[in-house]
Amino acid sequence: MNRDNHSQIDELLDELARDAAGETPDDAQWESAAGRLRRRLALASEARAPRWSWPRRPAFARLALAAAVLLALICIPALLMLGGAPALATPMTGMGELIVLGPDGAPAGACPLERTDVSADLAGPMARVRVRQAFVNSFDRPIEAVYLFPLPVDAAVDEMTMRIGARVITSEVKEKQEARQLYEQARATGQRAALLEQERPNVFRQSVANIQPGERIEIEIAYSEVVAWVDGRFEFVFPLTVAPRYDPRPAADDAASTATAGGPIVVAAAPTPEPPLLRAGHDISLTVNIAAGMMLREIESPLHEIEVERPAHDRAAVTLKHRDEIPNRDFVLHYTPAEDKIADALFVHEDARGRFFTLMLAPPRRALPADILPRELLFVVDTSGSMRGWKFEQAKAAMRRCIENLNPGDSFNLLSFASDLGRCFEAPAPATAGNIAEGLLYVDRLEAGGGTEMMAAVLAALAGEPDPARERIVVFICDGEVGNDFELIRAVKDHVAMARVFTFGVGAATNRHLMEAMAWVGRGEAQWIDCGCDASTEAADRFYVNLNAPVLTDVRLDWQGVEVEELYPPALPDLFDRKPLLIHGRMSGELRGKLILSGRTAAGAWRREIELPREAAPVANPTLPLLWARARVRHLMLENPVAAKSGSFDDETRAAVTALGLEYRLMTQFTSFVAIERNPFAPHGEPVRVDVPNESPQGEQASEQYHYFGRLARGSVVKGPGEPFAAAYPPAYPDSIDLNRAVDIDNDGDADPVVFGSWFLEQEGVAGHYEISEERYAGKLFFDGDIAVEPGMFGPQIYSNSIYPLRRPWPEAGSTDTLALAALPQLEKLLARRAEGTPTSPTLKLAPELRALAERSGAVDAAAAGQVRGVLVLAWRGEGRALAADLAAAGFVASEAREFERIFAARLGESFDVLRIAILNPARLKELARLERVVHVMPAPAGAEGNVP
Amino acid sequence: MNQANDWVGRLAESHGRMVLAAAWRVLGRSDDAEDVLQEVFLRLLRMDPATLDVRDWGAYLRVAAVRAAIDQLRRNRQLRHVDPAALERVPDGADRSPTALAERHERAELLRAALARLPEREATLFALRHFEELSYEEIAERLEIPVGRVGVALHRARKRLAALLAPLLRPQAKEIAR
Repeated sequence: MNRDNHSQIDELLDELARDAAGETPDDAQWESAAGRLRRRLALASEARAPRWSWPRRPAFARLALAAAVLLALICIPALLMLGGAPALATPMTGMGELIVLGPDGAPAGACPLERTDVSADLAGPMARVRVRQAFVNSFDRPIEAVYLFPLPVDAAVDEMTMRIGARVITSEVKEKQEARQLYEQARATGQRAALLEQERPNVFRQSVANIQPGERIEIEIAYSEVVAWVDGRFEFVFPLTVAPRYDPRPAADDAASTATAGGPIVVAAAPTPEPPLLRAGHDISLTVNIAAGMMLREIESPLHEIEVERPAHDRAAVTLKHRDEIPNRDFVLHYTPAEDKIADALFVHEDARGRFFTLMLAPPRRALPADILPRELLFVVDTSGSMRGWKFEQAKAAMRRCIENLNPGDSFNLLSFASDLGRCFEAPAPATAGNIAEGLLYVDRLEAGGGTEMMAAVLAALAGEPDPARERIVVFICDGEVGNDFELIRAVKDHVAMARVFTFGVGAATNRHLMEAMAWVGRGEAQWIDCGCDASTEAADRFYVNLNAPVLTDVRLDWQGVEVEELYPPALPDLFDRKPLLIHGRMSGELRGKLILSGRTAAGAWRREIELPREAAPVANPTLPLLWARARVRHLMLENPVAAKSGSFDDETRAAVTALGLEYRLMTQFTSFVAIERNPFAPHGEPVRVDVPNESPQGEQASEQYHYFGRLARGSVVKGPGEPFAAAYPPAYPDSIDLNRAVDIDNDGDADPVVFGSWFLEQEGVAGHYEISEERYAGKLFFDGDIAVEPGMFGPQIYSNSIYPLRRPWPEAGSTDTLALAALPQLEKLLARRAEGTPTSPTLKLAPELRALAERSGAVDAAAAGQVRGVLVLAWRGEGRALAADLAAAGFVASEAREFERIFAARLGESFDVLRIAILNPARLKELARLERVVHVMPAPAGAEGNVP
Repeated sequence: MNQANDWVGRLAESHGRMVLAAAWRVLGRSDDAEDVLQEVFLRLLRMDPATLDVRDWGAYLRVAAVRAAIDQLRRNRQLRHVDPAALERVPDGADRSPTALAERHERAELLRAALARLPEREATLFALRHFEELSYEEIAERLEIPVGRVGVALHRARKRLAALLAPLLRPQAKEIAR
């Protein structure tokens, strides 16, 4: 290199560096990035913040922890060290890694719970879920692993197996004490053994004894449940963590219950350090197979990133995205059938024990209630320390929404509880403008901090004679992070009288059991919101609507001669909008004729006849007896007058529940699963007990045939996996897919139609053009056809419909046309619109040029064939460059989408159209990138990574 | 945002824009830069402020941003496509027209593509010096290396960049010669 060249290149370097340094975000870009950053930080710090205030018994708390450490090695996720747990502070070994601490507090090795796999089969409204947990002993002595994990409230657990290598050891259901004795005997003699106990209705304790050094033991449990139908869609929930619970029980009771439970770790007794925001992704997998029996429109998980495969339009396979870290929150999956109504359905199973059924009744549509009864509304809000952050804001928002919309005849009061109870008015005050203002001010001033003395609040809210002229409605707004569930439920039951109790749960790991049970005994409705996202005002709105009134009261079901017995719930509750009523029962005799569902709506008397199907061929649906038994257990436990907590049920209840557990092979408070290896072996020494921190699920799957009739599947086309779409689906996908309600996958309040888009691309290799209605995007994103999306919380994605002429061969490298301009119709429309009112605008002149270019590229043919309606890839050389220049003059300059936006925004102010191009398949992207003439391509959206073959 | 982690929120408000800008200069791509922005602050969230001995948060975050951005740049280098012809167009620096902006962006992208192929340390140094305009002394202090090494490493970085860009320059050289 000669001197000239040298200085020239030096100069060039400086020039280029100046060019680069000159590129910085403008105000608008910073503002939008800052918004997302704030949201993300709020989300992260909310989950990371110390949730625990421990005002009452700090000494005890420390004692409990110390005892646990002395009794055993204790295993703590390293992350927790950041959140608190001062007594156990230890160096961090890595994100989400679990380490075991020795008695001296020094790290002693890796945690024995290696991974968790969850697989769920959702057939119609029935779910069968398998959870497989693998324990590995990395110590040089045999160990016992003990840990707590959550399952859904109504999970009917009926199976546990233990696998050691190729050996499979099945379990037996035993009375709880007996099961524990068997387990402890086995542990003492060195046999491998597993014990599954119910700690509370939705928290279970798994113990595995005598895991030999280096050995891997897998425990698989299975349960069934009914998938909830909420607001026009199915909602499947798998809890991935237990939020710590504040348990105000006196220490003596804790000691007692600990002793009976036989272990030192009771989630209610020791303050579990707060769970980390993220957990390691490699130790968990989750697979959900959906066979909905009706066409599925949307599938989304508001809190987790998922992959969705669609083998048929009524089926889907959902997996967690492979990520190093996944949010440590309950996994929630929503899936929406094409029709957002649920129809009545009856499921029947017959075996030697008799005939069992589950009846699902859809509520009537809400009549417009012009004349609802005046109400006495009591809002009871949790202001304890655990509510800090977005939860509290959400709670306040819900209250404000309700208070602002009180009817003139209503009266109301506001109660707040933490360590103490506060109230806005001495007695419920009429909803005058002045009182409402005072109420709002009270809400504004509320601050979170302190313990969670919920009992006093329950008693205070339900005390006193209700106003006879008004319907008393008590609304509890809290995260349910308390430990005395049964006492609270009982208190509600005892004092509810004619009032209705609603619960509004906030938090990513709300204690759903408590929230549901309180609403259940209070004839109200439970609802929750599990994230602090923007869309959350919707939840407050929905809550407000539900609070208004049930759609159907005085519900009666006339069975018209069908002999049914032991129905649960025994008394029919009121029906609320868009939430079906589930009845589990047994029947004898013939199944025919019709049922009559009647009641009162705001508009007056109401009735509906439900045709029973003709006697169907008996099809095994072994879930139904389980669901029935589980409902009966729940009834027994909730109805029981002295059912304050585990250990204090009366003998009768205990006996009844135990009998049900044994007969139906069901996990209950009083029956446990125990599996014991038959051939004892010489132990390598005293087992060391290892308590595994709660946190981790896992899975595999099994499919079961569920039979149902009724009209649930109306209008659906059912196909098996692998079957072609054939005639049922016109090949012209673009026009037949309605994505008007797209999926908000990144939970940022707008719609990200990634699921269908990527699926179509992958499955069909066809251009998908999805109409997104303009109304839907009004004010948010744009525009008249093609693409939307904003970067989301989980990263900078352009989740977008891909619009690409995939059916055409790829242009050859070196072809003059670069990639196609297949966007003609679209583009012309945009241009025309831009030119509205100014017909001489240069933009119109562009149209012929665009057409010429597109024609040469062959894109017009593709567009004419209806396959493609909007692709714009600009090149910067030759004609492409000339075109770009012309476009630039007209306001269409592209290098990448953001650039587009920036330039448009700068030139046109707020109202601009953005044509974004996203290519969902990175493999294709690379192909494209090899083309010499294509200079600018979009970055692959982050959400597309999973598509890489 | 709760109190315990509010320090991160406050830092994000006061320094976020600078972090985004620093990342942007390196990456030239807004969503990548935004990734870096979030990464920098989320990482802080995992730290205990008591254990961080930071006297100058501005400088600390600037370096953190550049480092994270260089990481990102290197990770995604195969996705970066440039047009050597961009060198032929030398827009007037004062021209803020869309075309000029786009052309400058193209030129900057050329440099970034080259930067992505440098050793990490050298790329970081280059960005700190030429994008963030830190002095040798500041760089030395931030990266805890002797001042002399800064100069040497920067020189090496420039040489490497020159070597990467030189082949592209030839047509331009011809043009100038003509």
